[in-house]
Amino acid sequence: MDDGTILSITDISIMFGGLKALDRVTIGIRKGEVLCIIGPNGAGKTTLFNCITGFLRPTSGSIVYRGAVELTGRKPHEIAAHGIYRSFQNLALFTNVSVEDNVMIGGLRRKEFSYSITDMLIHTPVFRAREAALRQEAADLLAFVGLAGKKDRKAGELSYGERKLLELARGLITRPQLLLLDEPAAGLNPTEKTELVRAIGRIREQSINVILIEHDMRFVSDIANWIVVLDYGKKLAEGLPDDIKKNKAVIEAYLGTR
Amino acid sequence: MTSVPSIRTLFTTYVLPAVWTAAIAFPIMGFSRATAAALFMLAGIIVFTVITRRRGLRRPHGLLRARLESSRAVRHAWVFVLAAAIAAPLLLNSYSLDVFTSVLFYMMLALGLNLLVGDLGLLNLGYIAFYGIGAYTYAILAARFGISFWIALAAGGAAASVFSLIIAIPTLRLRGDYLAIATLGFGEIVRIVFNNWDSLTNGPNGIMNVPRPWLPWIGFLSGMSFTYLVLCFVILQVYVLVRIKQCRFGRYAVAIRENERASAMVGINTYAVKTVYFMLSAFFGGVAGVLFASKQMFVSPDSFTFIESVYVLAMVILGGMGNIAGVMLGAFTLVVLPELLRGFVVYRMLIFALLLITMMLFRPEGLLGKKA
Repeated sequence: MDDGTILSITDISIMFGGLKALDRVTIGIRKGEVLCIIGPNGAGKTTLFNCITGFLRPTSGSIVYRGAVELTGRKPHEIAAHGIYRSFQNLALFTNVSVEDNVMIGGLRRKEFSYSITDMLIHTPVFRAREAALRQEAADLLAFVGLAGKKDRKAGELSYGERKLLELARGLITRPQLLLLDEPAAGLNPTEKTELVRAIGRIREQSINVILIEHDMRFVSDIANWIVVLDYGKKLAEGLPDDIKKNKAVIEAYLGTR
Repeated sequence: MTSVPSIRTLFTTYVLPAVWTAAIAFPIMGFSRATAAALFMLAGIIVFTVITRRRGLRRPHGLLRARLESSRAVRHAWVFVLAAAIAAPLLLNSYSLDVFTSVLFYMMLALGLNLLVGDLGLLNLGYIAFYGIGAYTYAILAARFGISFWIALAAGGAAASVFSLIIAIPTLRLRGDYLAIATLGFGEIVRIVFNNWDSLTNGPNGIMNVPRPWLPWIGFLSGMSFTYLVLCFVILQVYVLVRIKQCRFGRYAVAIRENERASAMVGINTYAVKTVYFMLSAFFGGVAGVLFASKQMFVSPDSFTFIESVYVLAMVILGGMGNIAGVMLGAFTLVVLPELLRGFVVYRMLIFALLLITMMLFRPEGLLGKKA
């Protein structure tokens, strides 16, 4: 059953005590789309990401991936195995590990880079070849995000913007089909933002679907082709970037009513 | 690049190791020879610093530099230590041989525990239980049922692993302190079972007449040949551990220690990896326990008290968590040091404690640990 929908989120609700963090949210993302989720602080954007990636279990509703796989109730690593990767708003890197290793760890679960216990114990040619291939791919991806020169630095030594790019590179090596980016542009300087827009554009060309949470409307208009607005856990509006910019309800949610 | 080192670096790099050496040497050598040893140490470090700088390596920090890992100097050091370890049993008298064997046992334990504490950052305060389970498995199988050493060896490791699985399933969901408390409880439960299950373990009297290991052509191993057997196991264990570190599986552990959420998001089943590490760690403990029982020819609950768990943990922390060579050095130091301090009966534990505290103040990352 492939009608071009990558992810269909249907009637998702989640309660934290008495607070409805998400209230019957329904979102669909079609193949090849860059979907952007916007909304004021506390609107439930990150909570939605946590539901999709298994860090939270929604109280009700369903999240279906590629028309066949139910994602609710699964563990994060199982969801990752389906080709879904997310970045975290406040970064989740392996801080005391080199930049190169950060990316390599991302690729460890891929079949092309696996080897048996014997391979690992006596370092057979298979082991060496796979390790080299993994290292090579990590190097390629670091070059892609513009961090090639810093591969031996510790991840913790990078600037904030560089860390975000590193997290992206680590995600790409998992060969995701769906990429969830939680505020990728926050804290980036203009040059880094341009770099990020370019990278996301190229990611899209590789037919990887992207969902991102963002505040910067200019950045959003540059890359998103569909926008969903959340407010107080409810879907307030959705549409093309230009329509959303003119939407009265959205403007009120951000700026307040007179 | 020559820059003027700070006073703190000067102190931790040169002065502290020298003073430390003097402090260790003082009780056994007296004042003048201890001073000589300290000066010798100081000279050695200065030469080492100059050489490594010339070669363009990073400046060594503290006693030795963990960054040198996998470099040529380290490979030479490993070969040297290995040669010394192989030669040692031939040169030592029976008392020293005993101490040396003891060092090897504790190396096995500290390396096993390091898999959890160092590599995964999970605190296990009941590690000695697995040592005890291995020892008792062998004692019961061999002394009661006459099962051969080599089969019992596998059984001892397996028994420890199985028990670790039982404890791992509920406790690995816990975090930090809670896991430490749960393992501490487990350690005590195991010891109390040894103490009270008279029909199986003979209670506080322990099990006697535990046979020595037996090898064709050599016969029963004792004294020097036994030490060589343990040495073989240590070498094998180090080999396996180094390989694990270099492979996928070792990187899973690093990832989990550094960031569990991110590990899950790149597809690592963190719970499964932790469980396997727990079992592997217990396996090494169990094997060490079998060897221990076959050396003592006797097991009793007294050998597996909580303080032993702490002792092994101290070795891991003193040596440098996560660093294989460091942990081995930690085991060596903590076994040999109290022996050297024997001459100072009254002050022995005091000096020992002082040295540990000094170490933790100035090198909290351990002797060979990496700076966090």
